Amino acid sequence: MSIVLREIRFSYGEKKILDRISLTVREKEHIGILGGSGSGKSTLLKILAGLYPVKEGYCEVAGEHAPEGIRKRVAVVMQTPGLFPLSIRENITCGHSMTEEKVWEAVRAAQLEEWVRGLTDGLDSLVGERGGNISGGQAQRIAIARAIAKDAPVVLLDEPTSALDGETADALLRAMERLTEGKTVIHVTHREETIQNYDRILVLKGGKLFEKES
Amino acid sequence: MRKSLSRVFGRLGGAMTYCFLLLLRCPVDTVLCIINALFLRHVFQTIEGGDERGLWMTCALFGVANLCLFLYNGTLWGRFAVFSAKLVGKLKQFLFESMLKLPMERIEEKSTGAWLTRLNGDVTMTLNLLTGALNLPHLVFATVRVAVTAVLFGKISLLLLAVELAVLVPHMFLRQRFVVRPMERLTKEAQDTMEHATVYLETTVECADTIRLYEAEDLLLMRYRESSLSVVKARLCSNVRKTLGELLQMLLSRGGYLLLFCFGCEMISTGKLDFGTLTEALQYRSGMLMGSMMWLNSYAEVRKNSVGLKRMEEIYGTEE
Repeated sequence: MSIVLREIRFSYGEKKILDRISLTVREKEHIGILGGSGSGKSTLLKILAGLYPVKEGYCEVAGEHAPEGIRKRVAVVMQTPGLFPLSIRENITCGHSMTEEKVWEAVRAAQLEEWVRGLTDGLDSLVGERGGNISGGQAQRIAIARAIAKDAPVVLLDEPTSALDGETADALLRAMERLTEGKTVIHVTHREETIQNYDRILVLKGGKLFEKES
Repeated sequence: MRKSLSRVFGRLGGAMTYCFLLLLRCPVDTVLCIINALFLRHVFQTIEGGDERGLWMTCALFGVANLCLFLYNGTLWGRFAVFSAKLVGKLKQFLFESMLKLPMERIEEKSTGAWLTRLNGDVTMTLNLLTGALNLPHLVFATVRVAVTAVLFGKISLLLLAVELAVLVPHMFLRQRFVVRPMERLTKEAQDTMEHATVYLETTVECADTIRLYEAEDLLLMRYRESSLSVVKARLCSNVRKTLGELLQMLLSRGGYLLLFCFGCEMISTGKLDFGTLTEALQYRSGMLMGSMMWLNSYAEVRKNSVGLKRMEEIYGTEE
């Protein structure tokens, strides 16, 4: 199994967010999780990404259960791209040694090649503070390129298209196809149309996870 | 800068009070120098003449004059402090209001670090310019001090004044060329680099999850270290220049002193001067030297801080 969650509970102080969540995901399976605002879907994703420690229950991702180990096995694309005020290259490699070809491969897969080649400094162009020098769609695609370059077996998506307009969101979804190809995917969203082709769709409500009724 | 100043006072008010307080304060340093000079002259003259009563009288007058000057100066600085505090409040409020009215594209064209620097650094720079030590007030005080003491020095002996000028002018030139100007550049460099370092610090908070997920700690640490090192480097270079300035002062200030003594002794031996008058001249010389140093330091600070004033104008505009 790629992901195993057993009896996961999580709360912020007194407020219960996740209540006895159990989930098993097979390798290369694509799971969509639907949930409204405040349903705990981002919290669940952060647990799966190894960003929050599991205090109650058991979480295993790609054979790892320690948060540090989990973080090495997942690639995450969030609502905000989380770009560093550095160059496109550094935002993709995150300072790790990577061949030029691999960087371009990620750029190509994220459908950024044409744009990057058109820039005076190419991959060394600065994105600015919070990606201020580039558009929201380009910023999110750099985040996707970064996730592609990481080449992790599990991909977690937290509404990566929520802040984008329809056309840009569609282009981004196409870019994400390459990212999710042959990987285990968990995509949390409140828009069902973005996950309608997934293997399974679950609903997170009141801190509990249900199979979606067809 | 004059236009920028009149614009800022035009918006905040208080220009007349500011000028009035400056005018009242500017003779203090000069008067103190004259009191010291006259005291030393009379003390040595009374000692030479064996006039014990005159000596006591001189000391008493010196004490009273210093006390009066102290009270006058204290009262004025008290007023000035109240004026400064009010000005700080007005300026910050005015700047905040102006920022709220800025169009979005103007706000977005600068990084958060740059805006924070502007709100904190540039306001502080402007306030320092108007009210801080070794800034605009001291520039005025130093001008008065140098002019008056030079005239009094020249009245005692034009030869001694010429000797002093022969040392003082190169001293000030070298100081300006090799100390003050490079230090201005280094300070600006340090400030710019500090802005970058602030941006990296913000990123570590805002992108904490991404940094952990993609193990980018080393990358950001390296970049932060680079900008911190640049700040340290600029500060180190600045300290080297400062030391050079101190060295110049030791060399040329003491050298000038010795020269004046040599010429003074010669004049005493030929009966053109008495020792009391020489000590008075040395006091005026000290006033000239201190005044010149203060003038140059204040001028450098005024130039540096006027950058803050000009940058603030980008927020509230230059139209009256």
